[in-house]
Amino acid sequence: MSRRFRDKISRRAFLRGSTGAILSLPLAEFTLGADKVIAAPGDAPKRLFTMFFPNGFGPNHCRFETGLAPLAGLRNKVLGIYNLANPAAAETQLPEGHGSGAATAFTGIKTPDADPKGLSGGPTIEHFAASQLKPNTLLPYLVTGLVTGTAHHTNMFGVHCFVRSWQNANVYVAPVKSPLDLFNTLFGREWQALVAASDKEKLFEKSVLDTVMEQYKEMASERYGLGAAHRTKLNDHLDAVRQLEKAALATDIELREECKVPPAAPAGVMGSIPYSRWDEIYRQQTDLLVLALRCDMTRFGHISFGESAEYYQRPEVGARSGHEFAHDSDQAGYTAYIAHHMRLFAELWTKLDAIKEANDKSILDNSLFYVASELGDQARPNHHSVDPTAVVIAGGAGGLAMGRLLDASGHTINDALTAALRAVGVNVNTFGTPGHNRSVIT
Amino acid sequence: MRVSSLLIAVALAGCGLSEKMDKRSSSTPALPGATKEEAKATTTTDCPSFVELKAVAARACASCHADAEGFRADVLDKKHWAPAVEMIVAGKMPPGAPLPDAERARFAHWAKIDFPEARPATCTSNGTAWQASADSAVARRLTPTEYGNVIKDSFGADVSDLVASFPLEASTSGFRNHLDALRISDVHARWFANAAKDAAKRLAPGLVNAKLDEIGLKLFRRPLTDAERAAFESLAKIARDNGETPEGVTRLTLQAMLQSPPFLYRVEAGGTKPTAYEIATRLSFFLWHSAPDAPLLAAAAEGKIDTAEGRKEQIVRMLADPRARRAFRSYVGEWLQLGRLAGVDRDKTKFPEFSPQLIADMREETLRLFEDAAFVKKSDMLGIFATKYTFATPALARLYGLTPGKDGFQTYVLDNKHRGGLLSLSAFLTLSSATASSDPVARGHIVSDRFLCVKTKTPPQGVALEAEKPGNKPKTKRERYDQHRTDQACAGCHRNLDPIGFAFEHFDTLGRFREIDESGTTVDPSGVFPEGAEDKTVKGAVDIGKSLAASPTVRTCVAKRMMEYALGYEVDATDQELAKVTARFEAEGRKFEALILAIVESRAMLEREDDR
Repeated sequence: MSRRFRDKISRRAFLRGSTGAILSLPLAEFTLGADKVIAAPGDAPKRLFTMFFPNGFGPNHCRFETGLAPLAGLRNKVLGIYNLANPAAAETQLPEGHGSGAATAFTGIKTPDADPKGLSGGPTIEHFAASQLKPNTLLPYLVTGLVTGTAHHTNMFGVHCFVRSWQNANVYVAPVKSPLDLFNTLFGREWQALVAASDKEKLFEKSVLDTVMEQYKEMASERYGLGAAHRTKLNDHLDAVRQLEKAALATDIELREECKVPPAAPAGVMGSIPYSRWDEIYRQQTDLLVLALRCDMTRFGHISFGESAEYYQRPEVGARSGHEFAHDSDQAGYTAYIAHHMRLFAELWTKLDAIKEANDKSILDNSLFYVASELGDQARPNHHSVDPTAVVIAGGAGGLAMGRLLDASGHTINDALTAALRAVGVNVNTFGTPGHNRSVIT
Repeated sequence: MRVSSLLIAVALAGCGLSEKMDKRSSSTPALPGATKEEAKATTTTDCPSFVELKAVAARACASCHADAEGFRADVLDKKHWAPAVEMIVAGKMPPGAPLPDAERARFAHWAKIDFPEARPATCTSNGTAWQASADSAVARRLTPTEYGNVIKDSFGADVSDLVASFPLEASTSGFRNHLDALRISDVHARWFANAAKDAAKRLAPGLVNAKLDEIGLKLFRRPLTDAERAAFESLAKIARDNGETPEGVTRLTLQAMLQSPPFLYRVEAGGTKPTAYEIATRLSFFLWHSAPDAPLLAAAAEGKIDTAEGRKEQIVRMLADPRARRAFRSYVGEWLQLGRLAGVDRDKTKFPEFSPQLIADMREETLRLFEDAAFVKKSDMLGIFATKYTFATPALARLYGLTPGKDGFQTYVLDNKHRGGLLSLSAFLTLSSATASSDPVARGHIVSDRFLCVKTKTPPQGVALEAEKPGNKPKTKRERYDQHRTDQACAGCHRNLDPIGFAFEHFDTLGRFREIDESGTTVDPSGVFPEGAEDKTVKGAVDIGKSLAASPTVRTCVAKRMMEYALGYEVDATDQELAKVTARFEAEGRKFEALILAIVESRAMLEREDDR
């Protein structure tokens, strides 16, 4: 699969508005060198990000009187879709809903039944969109967020809890967690080197990668004798190297030069991830995301706000964890827990709504944020039930009518995922397991 | 993932049996210990069908299962037969009168090939579950640990800082080197590209005068092909023609080589047998988690490792090398899930002993015990489960109620009344606990999974423990956990897990001895250790440790786990090669070196799957 350059959008076209003013300290110190409006005709890129928060979200909370209360100010920019079924989770051989819900929420396809458990049957929508639209950005996608799981975290039954962003079946992308790591991923040495690379260095980089690619091509060929699965693996690697070469050689560096960033992260950008400062970390991560979107460093990604079944206590909500609220009769606490997440999401979306792009719409308007959880409402007796569930879509990328709460009884999450893809320009009629799609939501 | 293995997994998801349903199962499902006649019998019925097995079922099952709980022994109903086969294979059915090994093997294999009514038309001597395929020729990506080891061992450069930034990865069956776990995403590829740049900068100054073929042999673990040589020479020419210095030319060449598939992947590209270089690579990554060194590559070039004698000579040499200890420690860390210790936290007000250093000591204590048995004393590996001594720091000694000695690790004798054996030590007890409470389920699960090789399925959907229901608060921890075993949805697994875990209840979440548990109840450390078809009553950690040390199931599991690590995929519990390895392991005193030699000499190591 080649990544042809299909992006006809001038990078300069969407460099409008000031970013620094809307960012939290310490990232507000970024100048970006682009406070001036760079007027240019053209369109703006469409972006798609999935967002996850754990422990369930269903019709009872997909209302502005309850869980969505913090989104009231963005009412016209969001779409709530509730009463969705998740048949892929129901048929997944992970009988415990946290695992099956998390593994299917953004894929719509049942997980493989073999070990390691909790893997994915296909790509999540942000990766699928990236593979279809093939933007020529520095990063093909960005996955960040916070999870309490450790590097190889599985629960005691070997189910992978935290991985929710899948490049393809069973090929997952773990989140970059600390803001400092995220800064370095976005603006670190690679970025600095790309901006500063001379023509000779670019030639050498190209020559190295060309040499490497020829070898992947040879070994991935049928005549070399590897099995199909291994050829696929090498082809995936080849594809990734090809993308690296494109990013390294991109001649349109005007925007990169405009997006001036310090050579190192400013003091205050957190290198650790104490969970007691979860919200602060999230704000730094999303501030960096705002900068990344503004500099068009990526157009697709995922933000995890906890792993499925997360037990972490949110001091902002109360003394109990979201998991406990969800399992509990404390519906007020559960609602507050959901609303707290919506409040944080609203902060990000508000920042993006303040930046206008060349089509006179905001970054939020030109983007689509798809928020889901692994379960539906968790009130007795619905312990661990994966549906009916709900999703929130923000922005809409100009492809969906916003400002609605839609009762989607009879629809599945596959329909919602399909709608999100169509909104950003991926021409599909189904997503995930085809049989699970009912009809397209518009 | 092959379709066949998916089907098998669908059919057999559940406690225990799925472990036996591995995609790389051996051809003949004779159980360990089967007689020649039994093995022959199973060979002649490699693809048993329900029609064939119905006679056995009529004899052994039908008297009770005429229609009990919806299950009829004479009706092919996969939904009911899947758990039934699980019980039969485990020797738990018929109760008290398990079927002969050969018949159990036939049931296991019938399940493996997806419960056919009649013998499948495509049935081969290998059965339908495993068919030779092109997938036998593999490209196995290096793990980050292997990546760092290879560069350090081959060129003396430390790149551990790069390795530490490797993207997070999954593990399969507890091991990170398993073929299914070693995926590649854009993020991985980007890391490899950047690491190649950094590593090349560090290596280039020392390799300016090295010949391309010498570097190639080290990095690709075989001589360069003509095409590869030409490609790298062409790259070097571009660099030279554009004014690069000799060091710069070397750096760019290395940068390309370090991203090339023959370096990043252990590529075995077909043929009926692995080449000598591929065998050498298998040996070195098994024993050293690293690339073959010059003597091993020379032995491959000269054909010396084509013979058992030549291989043994190399293995003895390699085991005496510090790299073998390094690799073994890494293996033990993965096998025992010691990595989980890194995330452990404890309330300092309740656990004043807790500190990151104490956690590091726990990990080191476990590794030293294994290293001592494998490399120093060269003793029975299973003896660790009943060890009467340990290697501890003063901080650990205090945790154990012992008089602290000199700084650093010293030998301490355990009381062997309450504390004795590996699993009475703090690493296991801590990593198997929740933050505030010991967890008998987690403890039982780890013992079951890592040392008995029995898998456990995930909890069912929609489960609400009675304990959570208002007005129904059990008084003691045991009463609370008893509900696991009375609730039908939970009992299937918890009746096996919880009784193992309760044997360790004398120890809290940091491994301190206690008489009273979190619920304020006097600890009752009685438990049950499952040995084959029998359940053996045990009392306390020392007692269960002795059972583990003497258990044939544990012995087989120890061999199985090591073999899986060597091969990089799960091994079928009924694999004949595993049976041979286990037999040799047992015959030679269950010593580490015997296990290594047995695995190296197995067909699984020396041949390709499609030979089997």
